[in-house]
This record gives sequence, C-alpha cells and structure tokens, in this order.
Amino acid sequence: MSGHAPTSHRFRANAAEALANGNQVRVLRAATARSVAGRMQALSERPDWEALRVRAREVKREALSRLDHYLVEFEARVREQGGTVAWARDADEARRYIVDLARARGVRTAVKAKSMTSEEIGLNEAFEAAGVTPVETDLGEYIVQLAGETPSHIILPAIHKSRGDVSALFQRTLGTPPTEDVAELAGIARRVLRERFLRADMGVSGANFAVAETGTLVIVENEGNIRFSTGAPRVHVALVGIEKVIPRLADVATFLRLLPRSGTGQRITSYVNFLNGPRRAHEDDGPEELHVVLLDNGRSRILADPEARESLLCIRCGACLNVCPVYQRVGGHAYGWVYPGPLGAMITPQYLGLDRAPELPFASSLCGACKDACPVRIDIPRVLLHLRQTLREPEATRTRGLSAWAEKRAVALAAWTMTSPRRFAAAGRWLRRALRLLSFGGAPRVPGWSATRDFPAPARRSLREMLS
Amino acid sequence: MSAREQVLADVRAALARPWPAAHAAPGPAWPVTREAAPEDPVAAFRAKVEAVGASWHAARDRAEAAAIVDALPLGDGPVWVTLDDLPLTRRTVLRGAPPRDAFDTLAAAVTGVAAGIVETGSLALFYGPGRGRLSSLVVPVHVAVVERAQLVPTLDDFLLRVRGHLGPQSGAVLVTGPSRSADIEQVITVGVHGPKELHVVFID
Repeated sequence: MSGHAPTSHRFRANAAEALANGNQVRVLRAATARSVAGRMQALSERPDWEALRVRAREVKREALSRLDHYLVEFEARVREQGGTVAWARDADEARRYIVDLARARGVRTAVKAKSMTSEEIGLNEAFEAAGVTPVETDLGEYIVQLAGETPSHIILPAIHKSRGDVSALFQRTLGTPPTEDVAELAGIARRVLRERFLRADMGVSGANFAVAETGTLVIVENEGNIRFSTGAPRVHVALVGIEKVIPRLADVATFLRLLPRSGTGQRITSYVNFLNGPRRAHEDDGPEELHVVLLDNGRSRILADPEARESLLCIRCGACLNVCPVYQRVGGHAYGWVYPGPLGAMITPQYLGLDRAPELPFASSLCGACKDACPVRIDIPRVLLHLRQTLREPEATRTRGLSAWAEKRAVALAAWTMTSPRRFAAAGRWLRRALRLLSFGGAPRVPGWSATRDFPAPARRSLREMLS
Repeated sequence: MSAREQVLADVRAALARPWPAAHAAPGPAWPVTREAAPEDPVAAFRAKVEAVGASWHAARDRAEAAAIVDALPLGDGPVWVTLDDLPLTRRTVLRGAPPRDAFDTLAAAVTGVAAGIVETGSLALFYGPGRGRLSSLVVPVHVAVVERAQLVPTLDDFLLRVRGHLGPQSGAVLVTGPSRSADIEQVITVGVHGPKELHVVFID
C-alpha cells in the first residue's frame, strides 16, 4: 500500500483537491457522523468511562516507562511456547525478515489481516517483488487493494467508496454481475477470499496488544478474516510495533471496554483473538510456526522525545479521525501516508521527518475534539504544538538577517503607536480608512484569509469616537 | 550489535529522559462505579446475546439441546460437532478435523464453550485437542451449547480463567454474535468471513 510514495509534504494541496470532490466530502461527513453517534451511544453505557480512560493511560505509560523490561519478558514467553521472535530496527529489516522467511518456506500466497504496520513498512510491494502474492482479506482493505488505491481510514479503509463503486470494481476485476445489494457484494468477497485463506501458505497480521506476562497477542476484529489468516496457513507472522506491549493479561479488560466503543461504537467486536504461540502437538489445527516481528522503525526515537512520547500511547482505535473537523472534510488520502487524521498529523512528521511533512502539524485548528475522544487521553493538540515549535525554532530564535531586523522594527513601531492614546486613535482611523478603500465597496480582501473566510468590514466610526 | 541489542539499547537510552513534569502527575481520580452484579445473570446474558443478532434457545438438558439442534433449519450437509454427549439424530455428524475441501459442504458446527461472559454476551472458546480454531469459523451456522455454570460476570473473570489455559494451549477466541462488516457504506452485513448465524442453546 505504501509503495505509493508519501505525499504528506503537500497536505494543503491534497486537502484542496479532496475538498473539490463534493461527493466524497458528503460520503465522509455522513460516515464520520455515524461513527461519532455510535461512539457516544456506546460510551454512555459505561458510567465509569472516564475512570477507564485514566486507567488505560496509566497502563500504557507504565508499559512505555519500562518498555525494555516488558519487551524482554514478552519475548521469553513467546519463545517458551515455541514461537520465534525477530527484532527489526527499521522497515527494511522487517521486510527482509518476512520476505526471506516466505522464500525459505516456499510461500506463494500470503493472506493479510488488516495491519497498518505492514503498510508502514511497505510489505506488499516487497512481497510482490519477491514473487509472493499478498492478498488483503479485510473487506475494506480487499476492495482498496483491488482498486489499486490506499486506504483512507484506519478502521473503515473503503469509507470513500459507495456500493456502486464497489459493484463496478468487482465487475471489472472479478467478472461478477453488477449488484447494488451490499450483502451480495460481501458474499462475493467471502467466496473469493475463502479459497485464498485455505490455500495460503502464510498469514500476516498485526496485533492490538502484546501481553508481556503471558506472551499473548490480542487482536480484535469483526469479520473473522483475522481468525482465518492466523489460523489456517501453516506460518503466521505477526508484525508488532514495540509500543504495543502491555504488562499483564488483566490489563486487556480495560482496553476491550474502550477500544471497540471508541472505534466502531460497539460494546465489543465480534471476535477477540488471544494467540499464544503455534499449534501444540495435540491440537487439530493452527499454524505450525509463529513469528513475531518486533518493529522499532522510529518508535524509540519518538520515545526519546519526552514532549512527543505520549504519541506512543495510541491504541489505533480511530476515534480521533471521526471527530476531527479537518479529517471529516478532507479524508485520509490528504494526509499522504499510512496514518490519517489527528493521529497522522501527530506521528507522520515524527516517522518521516518534520522536513517531509511540515504542513501536518498545522493540519489542525487545535480544537481539542481528538483529545476528548482519545481513550488513552493523548493530548494531541499539545504534541502538535510541540512539533510546530520544533519546526519554527530556527526562525524563532534567529537574531540576525532581514526578517529578524524587520520583525524587530515592526514590534518597535507597534510599541511606539500603542503607548500613546493619541497615536493609537490616529492609527486606528488611518487603518479603517485604508481598509475601506481597499475593499472597493465589498468585504476587505486579506491575502490568504479571504480565500476561505470573510474579513469583517470596518465601521465608519470607532467605539471610542462614538463615546467621546 | 544485533538488531535486538540495538533496539533495547535505543529504548533504554530514550527512557533515560524522564516524562515531562505535567505528564508525571497522576490523572484525575474519576469514580470507578462498580456495576451491580445483575440480579438475573441469565436474563442479562440473553439480552446481550440477542442484541448482537445471535439466536437464543433454552433447554433443560443435553437431550433437549440435541432436539433443538436437530430442529434448526440448516442446510443439507453434515454437522461438525466438537461437543461430547450430544445425541443428535437427524444429521450426519463429523468429529475430528474434516479435510479442507469438505469445509464448503458443512451445514453447521456445534461446539461447547469454556465460558459465557455476561458483561458482553460473549462466548469464550478455548482451543485444544478436539476443539480446533477452524470448526466454528468456516461454517455458515455456529451453534454454541452453554450451561448456566459456565457463566461468568465480567471480562476480568474471563481473563483470569483464560490465563491458565494460554500456555498449554495455543489460544482462545471471544465470540460475540455472527461475523460482521460495515466496510461498504457502513451498512452492516453478516457472515463476511465467519458464520452468518450464531445460535446459543442455553442449558439451565
């Protein structure tokens, strides 16, 4: 999926394009509104909702604060149960491990459960280059894969496609008859993918949580494609970001109460998988091998920045996307990389580098809706402000050069004007006169601002003049 | 330095810097209201089970449960049974693991459960000998036989129970309702990869 090069550096241009697609804006507004309503309904069932959020944040903070310890514990447990743990410093190392494994095991087809991390490392492209066919099995991801596009939402990847789009797509790529019936469309996917599941040699998944105490991978889903991808093929590879580790199995209850409600407005997802190593000798089915690939790829760098560290608390629920007034209108593709919405604005500049996504920390009005919606109480606006400061720091601290001189002069002039009531009133009169002249009878045109907003028309007389 | 050593070293070096002072403060102490245990756990469980679109059937014993299963409107094919002592008479019963190309012929799977969780209306299936991962997944209809003694109140209770199981066995799954997806226009459709129908036969 991320064989498409990131376009995060041109967020504003992407956003403008997205806004021009009126139909997509409408679809997105409706879909996010439904998700928001669903979330409010689901959380109202838990009078202890805020206590859950506080607890979840504490657990994740504890996990991060002793991350090295918990990673080592997790690894030991997995290995005790016959699983293999591989460590990957970066995307390249992770790709190489998985592709080499696929080659060594003679893998021709790999079924994939939805994994943002696998898109982060560009796994599908690496598979294809090595002659392995990756098949996305989450219905939304499957649709997006057939269309040759990238997902536009981390929970509902095909949120931007109507049933008509999907029908046309299936007609074109699978040769199936057209239909407007959603159940029929899903039935087509079920039939086609059933074959792939049962014949695949490898299944690739992510994990929502990696429990250190027991070496358990916890993965939530609604369709059953994760049960299939991790249960049917003989090799299961779980690609897990190092920040997914949590200390104890008992902690999972708190997250299970928060994540489905936050992401899809459900009390709980249809299936919650608890995976502990490959099949045992006496079991009837299950993978013969389990490989957990622990991925750093910039996470330890984020961890090293105390002001940005809380970015790693994210449990990938998608709630922040649905409530964000920016995301609701521009959709996921505008953010240019794997992670959209407030989450993407927060972590894409940290993963790709601030210089490759300088507009993303500004893709926000800092309204704080995301912060209120986040089940682990990440203060996303605060992190965005920190990123903005980091971006502007060279400018802000510059004491030499033309713009520094001009700024000093402008501030001095403003101070001189404002320290005298006479000068202040005079400046006001001249400013209002100038604005009226430049308005040509209409609303004042201010560069940038007036492209999307009206600037208030200046009054004939100031309040001061009216009162004196 | 191996990748493992490098990652751990990077993590340790990163953690040498403390959290910002504002973060270190404990969060606000929101009240943790303990949900009162439901007066009628069976009724509460039933309500949650039906809320996710599963069907509820009540039975007094195994014999009655078997009769209920026999009477369900299933397809013609055989039924994959992983539960012992269920005297099914109407259908061809398959035990053990059928070959994969037989999966499409199966009409249903009939399993027991390790626990029923009242909080969410969920069924806990622990994998183990004779209780594979695929039996309750590949079929169009899943029938789960639950006994009253198997009900536990909350997810916390379930996690305590599954903890001893994970290790000797390779895993477990919590099943709540049929398989579903809302990926196309957020219209809920069932049976996308897993079963379209879930029936709970409750033996009281």
